[in-house]
Amino acid sequence: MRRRLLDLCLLAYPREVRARDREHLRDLAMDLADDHGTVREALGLLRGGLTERRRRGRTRRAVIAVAAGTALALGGLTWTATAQGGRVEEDLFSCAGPCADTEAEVASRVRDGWTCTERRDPDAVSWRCTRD
Amino acid sequence: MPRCIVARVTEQALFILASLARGELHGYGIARDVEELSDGRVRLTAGTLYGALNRLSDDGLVEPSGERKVQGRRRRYYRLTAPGHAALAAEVEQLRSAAAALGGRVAAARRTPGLA
Repeated sequence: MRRRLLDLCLLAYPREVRARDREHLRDLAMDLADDHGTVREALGLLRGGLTERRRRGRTRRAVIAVAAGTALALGGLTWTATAQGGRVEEDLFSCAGPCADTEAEVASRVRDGWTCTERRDPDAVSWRCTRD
Repeated sequence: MPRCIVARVTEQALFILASLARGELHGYGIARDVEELSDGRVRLTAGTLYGALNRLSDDGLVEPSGERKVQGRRRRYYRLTAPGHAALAAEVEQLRSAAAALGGRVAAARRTPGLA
């Protein structure tokens, strides 16, 4: 669901940007969404896409049309997400010292299609694994 | 040829340049470093960071240095160019001299309270 929401927001970017950088932008947004929340990243992509269109000299009308279309689609998706609440799975792992067992568990999650984000602090390592 | 190495940069761009001063870094690493460097005050979204990096690239201040896949996610690395290092140093120097001037004024006002 989160991936779909971010993909939808990427529509705010011009076609040529999406063709070149779509996956890179989405993966960056997924990384940051792990830290700061998906809604913030979704809005950031919308704003960034519209700014990019303005920077490339798109007409005001075209920018407004894209903004309106994306906002409508986003509203629909948010409504669907709310209606289906709780479908995203999340597991947290952390360890201090020898982490072989935990790392193996996280690796197996990744193989099973989970998305895991690693955070290394001076005295511990933690992972946040999610699956849509 | 970069447009102008002493062009005024936004606060976000300045933090991004400072973050890359230590070496190449991927977008997510830049965002986290900027947040830490600014004491949590500057929190970049992917959209903001992407736009800022594109503008800095267009100005010749940073350049992509490769892509790697980490845990299934694509990460693009960036590094400072020579004009980027120069722009960062110039900007920091400008801030330093502004801070010195303003600090001097505040200190003088403390010494002579009530004087206009």
